[in-house]
Amino acid sequence: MMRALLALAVPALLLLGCASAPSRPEPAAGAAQLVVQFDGQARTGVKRAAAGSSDSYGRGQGGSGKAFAKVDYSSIDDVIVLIDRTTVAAPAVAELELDRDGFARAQYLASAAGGGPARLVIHNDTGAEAHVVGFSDEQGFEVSIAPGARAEVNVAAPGAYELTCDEVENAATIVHVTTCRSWQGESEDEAFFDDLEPGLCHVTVLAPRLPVVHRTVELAAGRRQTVVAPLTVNTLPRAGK
Amino acid sequence: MQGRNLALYAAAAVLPGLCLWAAAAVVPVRSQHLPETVYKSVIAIEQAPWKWSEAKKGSLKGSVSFTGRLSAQPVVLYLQRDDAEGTFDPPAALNVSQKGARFNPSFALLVRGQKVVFDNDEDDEISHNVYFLGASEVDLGMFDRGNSREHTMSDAGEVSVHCSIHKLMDARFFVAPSPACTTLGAEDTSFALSNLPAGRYKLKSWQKQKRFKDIELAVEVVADKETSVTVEMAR
Repeated sequence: MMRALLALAVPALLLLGCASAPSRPEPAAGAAQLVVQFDGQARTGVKRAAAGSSDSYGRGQGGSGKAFAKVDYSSIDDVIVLIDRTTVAAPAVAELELDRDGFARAQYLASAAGGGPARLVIHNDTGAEAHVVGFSDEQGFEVSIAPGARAEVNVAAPGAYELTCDEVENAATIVHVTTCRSWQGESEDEAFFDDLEPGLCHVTVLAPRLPVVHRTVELAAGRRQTVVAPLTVNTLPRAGK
Repeated sequence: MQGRNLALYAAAAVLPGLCLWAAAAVVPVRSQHLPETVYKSVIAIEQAPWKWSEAKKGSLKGSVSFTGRLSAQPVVLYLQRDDAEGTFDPPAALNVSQKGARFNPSFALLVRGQKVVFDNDEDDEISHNVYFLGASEVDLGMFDRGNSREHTMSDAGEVSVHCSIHKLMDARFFVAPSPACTTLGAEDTSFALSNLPAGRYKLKSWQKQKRFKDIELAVEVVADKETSVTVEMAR
């Protein structure tokens, strides 16, 4: 009896230990699941810093001050994943924070589910009135926000909206308004999608300052599929002399 | 009995790995391509053998009005021919400094075929990398202080420029289809383009930061004449 219990307990412990992997439901019989993992890689030839530091360094050391801040490929913020499955969830509101340094994030995600508009809420922490404008190829909006206040904007057409602020010269961000199933987070996390229709699925991964990653995976009913997205410039063609 | 248990433990250890391996067998289909939702696409150019230098010339002048607040961010106006574009000598190479982990200039209006030279002119032993995203997607490599990398911009459109080491080291270029282009500064309310081959064009805008709707106006440049247009950058 003890041995039987041990036989059950050991795999369970192994599974718990192997991953501080998040616990997830098993896929339903007729539906598929997708996990998108991220593999951030510094450019080939760039040495990593000493142990304990996550910075990537060039061949030469030196350079101090904010301008010389290094990219940390082990932790990339504001990663967005879009998959070509229509969302049925209630639209998520995109919360944008604007202060004197600009928008808090390089890109945001807003869901326009069920044919309704996407909702953007812009918080003005600049200490002065702010005029925010946003344009996609198709549509635009302009909104004035009192200091300390917030404004809500409804955006009907999906697309990538470039947002700027008249008063904060360098404030610029992109809001991706989508009807697709989508995810936003950090590269240390994984994007998890449940209850997907089986079949070919196109995955797009958008990370600031990095090439867009496209993958196509075959989703099978009752299965969980994993895809790894490289977040790196190493995939770019090399040129220059 | 003990052997059976060992086998069970081994299976428990190996099976998750096998499952992960099977799950990772996915098909990478399209590699990198220009995402229309993020970057401006390459401006498609039809090329013809006629030479700019031999064409009959006219000029274009315009007044520009902005609704709302004027932006200190540059606005580019450029012409795109309705028919095929001729050949021309591109402007001289643009040199870009990298001193202090900053691209200087951090914005440039270039012309298709123009060369850009990135100089690592740091005072200290600091390496830089340069790569482009957008209309051109390419990695110019790593280079140490005292070295340069050059690249000819063969495609027209928006290009963002980055260093893969330094996270704040960014620039943005716009590569115009031909020399028929100009940049409007914050105070500019007029522009003039001269020495233009006669023909039908679209006058288009591009903004480093999009604060107005982009324009597209049909214009005709007539030989030995000056054409006038009014451009309204509205919201």
